[in-house]
Amino acid sequence: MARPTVVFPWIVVGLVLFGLVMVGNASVVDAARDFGDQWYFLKLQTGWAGIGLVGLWLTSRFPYQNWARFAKIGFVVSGLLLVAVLIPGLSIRILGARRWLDLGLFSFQPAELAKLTLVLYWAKLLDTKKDMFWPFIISLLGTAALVMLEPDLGTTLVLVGTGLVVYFASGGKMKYLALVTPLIILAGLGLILLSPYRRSRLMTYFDYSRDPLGSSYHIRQVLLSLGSGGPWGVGLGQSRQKYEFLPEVSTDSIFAVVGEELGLVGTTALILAFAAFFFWGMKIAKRVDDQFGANLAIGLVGWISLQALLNMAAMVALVPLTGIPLPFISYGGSSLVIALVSCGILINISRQN
Amino acid sequence: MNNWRFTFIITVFFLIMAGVWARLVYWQVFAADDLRQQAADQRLTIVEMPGTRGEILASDGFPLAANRLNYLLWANPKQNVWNSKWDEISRLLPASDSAKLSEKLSWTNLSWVALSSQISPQIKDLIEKMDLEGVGFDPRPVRFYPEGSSSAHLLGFVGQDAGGTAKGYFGLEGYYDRKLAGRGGKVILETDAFGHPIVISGQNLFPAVDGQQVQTSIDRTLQFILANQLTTGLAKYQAKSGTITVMEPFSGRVLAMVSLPNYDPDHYQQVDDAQVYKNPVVSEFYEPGSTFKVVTMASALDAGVVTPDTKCPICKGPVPVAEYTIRTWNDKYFPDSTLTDVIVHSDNVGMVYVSQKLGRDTQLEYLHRFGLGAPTGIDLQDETSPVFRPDRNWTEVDLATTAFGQGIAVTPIQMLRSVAAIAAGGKLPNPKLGADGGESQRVVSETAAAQVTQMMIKAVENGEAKWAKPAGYTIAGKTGTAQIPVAGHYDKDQTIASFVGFAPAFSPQFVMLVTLNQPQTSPWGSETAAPLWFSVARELFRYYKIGPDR
Repeated sequence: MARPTVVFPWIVVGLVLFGLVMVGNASVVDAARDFGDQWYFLKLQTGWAGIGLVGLWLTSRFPYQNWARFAKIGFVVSGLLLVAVLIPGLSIRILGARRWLDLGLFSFQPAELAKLTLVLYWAKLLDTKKDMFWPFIISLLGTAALVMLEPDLGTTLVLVGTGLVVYFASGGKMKYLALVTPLIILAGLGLILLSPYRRSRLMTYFDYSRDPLGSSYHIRQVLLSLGSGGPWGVGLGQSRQKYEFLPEVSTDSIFAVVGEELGLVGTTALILAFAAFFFWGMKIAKRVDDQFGANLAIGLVGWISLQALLNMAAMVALVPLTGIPLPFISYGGSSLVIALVSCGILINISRQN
Repeated sequence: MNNWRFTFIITVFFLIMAGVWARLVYWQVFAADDLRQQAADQRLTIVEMPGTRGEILASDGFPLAANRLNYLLWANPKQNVWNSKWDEISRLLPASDSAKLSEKLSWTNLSWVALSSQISPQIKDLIEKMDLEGVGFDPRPVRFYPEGSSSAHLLGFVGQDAGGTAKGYFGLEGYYDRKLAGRGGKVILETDAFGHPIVISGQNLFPAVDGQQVQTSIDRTLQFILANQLTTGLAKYQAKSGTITVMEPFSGRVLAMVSLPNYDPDHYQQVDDAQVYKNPVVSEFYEPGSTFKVVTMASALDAGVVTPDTKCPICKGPVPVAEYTIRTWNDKYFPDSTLTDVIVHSDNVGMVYVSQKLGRDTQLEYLHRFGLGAPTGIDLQDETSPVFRPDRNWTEVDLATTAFGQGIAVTPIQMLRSVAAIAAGGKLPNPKLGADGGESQRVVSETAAAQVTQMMIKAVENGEAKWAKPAGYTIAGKTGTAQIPVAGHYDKDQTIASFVGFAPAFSPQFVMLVTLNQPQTSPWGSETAAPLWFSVARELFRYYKIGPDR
């Protein structure tokens, strides 16, 4: 079998290149409408991909053991940033949510950074034979609460899921997991039912044509795109749903454009690509000798794979829409750069083992 | 690292991934057709483009039915408030539309209201020059009828079917609807969620095919003459309604056909009773009365059972038939009349004799030969025909009264056609307006036709209306007065008076039928329909430059 060190980077590069093709393709209508340049978003995203790949190259050269030193400070900084993003004046409010910090030149999502810093923090925290459940669960719930305040349910789910996976893989006690998992699920349901906006999202999950111009508009348009693509797709660049029908066409809904243009063939290939990413990532994690490295690898593979799975599961109406990007593919600088830096660390782990 | 935990994570992950994929197969394969259709429905806009309707032309090529482009004026009340320009516009619109103008403009919660659908191109230009915002025009092709109501019953009109597409109803518009309408075209536009066209999509254009024109044999001048004459005639004889039809006897080409009262085909909706749409000439049933005697007589002569000089042995008085007694119209009797006299005197008893000579089977056979009891096939949509009882159900009385035109129902066009056969030497023409009638069928011999013609000439010469006959012309004709059946009996004073005939008798250029419904000055055809017929004939002689033939 091929070595992960050789295969893994190519999977990542392949996903990024495919993502650029799809972003350029899906965003032409919005870009032409808002900026008069149909390649506007593609140009930006290419820049971010460049920065991200440089980051990947750098982190792949940086011995991962050194990251342990940044675990605590990274956790504190991203915690502060998550508080800052809630303060009006520092942040940008888009569609009712405060997720972006305005840094003048560009805006930035602290929650994206938190995915990386939390994984790092937990990797270090759980790098011990001692039982660290309480510090772990407090850091997990604390961060989750801050992200929920933005509000950003999707990212919260990714963070909590990743945390549980890392805790579980690091040999966490099953009795705690058995206790905390149902509690977290109950809390999640409570949050959904308390918010009218999320409740209607949940209702449309049960019946996607319930309110086609209102709460179920988004999922219905996604499914119309997938169905329009059929088995073989309508051809690259030929999507009709991207003409203002699909909301969040180049970010959260980009999977639907893949489905419409490339059909089941294309979506299957994309799912297989993420499966390969996950599989080779887990292979890297398995070969690591030290607990910190293994925790780190599991956490990094975990958050990216979990997010991909959550996005695609929402696109096929298997879970309600939560609004998170598809890693590597969706338009968005913070997300792409953090994902590539995560991959760089994984590659370094792979090289050393 | 703990191996089972590792395997557990991978297994759970791949199971969820398989679930996502299975769901994807459902949407992209099994539900795909339905979803694709829904997606198409929300982005495809179909713009219908009707083909231009063909014109209906008079014999001289002038349109009887033509098209005009009108416009629908609409406005966006959100962009418009009442100002002086609207005062001006309100003066340009039809009164019914301008009355509602200011109210419609105040509906500011709407962004589209129709203001008037009757905007001519000239008025459109005037309004466009005012340079108003939020005002637009949609083309509305409309049918119009340059000859107005005089041709209403011939032409019918163009309305809309249940689906809103233009469709011809009644008359030529109805009969030739498919030929005139052509085939509609359409453009399929792909639009985005805001209705803007999608640039990358090709245009799907299915061009419209224009309808064909229909050339008719209708003579506009004649149509005008007939309309004037009938209007005068109705007033003069105080009749409720009436018809005049003029046809070429050999070809069956209908030259003019007028009935009153009629309606304005340009405003066909404005009628009190939709019955008026039907052309009485081809759809109204009446008892032809004495005019029908010529048909019976032609049959008997053709069958060889009588000659014009055969003496009627039963004409000395009323004749019993089954439980009834048949009398002449004035209860005067002429013993030993010849059959020519029977026609001249319009002798019902004499016709009973002819019927008896014909015999049941032969008399019925001739009725069928003359095409009675069945539509003539004229190219007018509203044609209907009385349906005769089955041959075996005709009683002796039915046959006897039918011989003189009572107890039998015909339409004016059937009556005219039968007499046209006599005019045309025994060949029954197929009446048509917009097509060729084709081969005429011989129904009686040339000799029989000539003999009946002679009788009809005598009937005119010696008839009561002889004073009104144009001098110097040989005219073959016959009056008819049929009582109108009312609730099982006949009303003596309510009649349909008619006159049918052709001229010049020996080389007929036209055959004409005049019917008057319930004339009040006199119930008799000889005193109402006949003088009207002669009055029209006089104008026809002048128009066709037919010189006196004796």
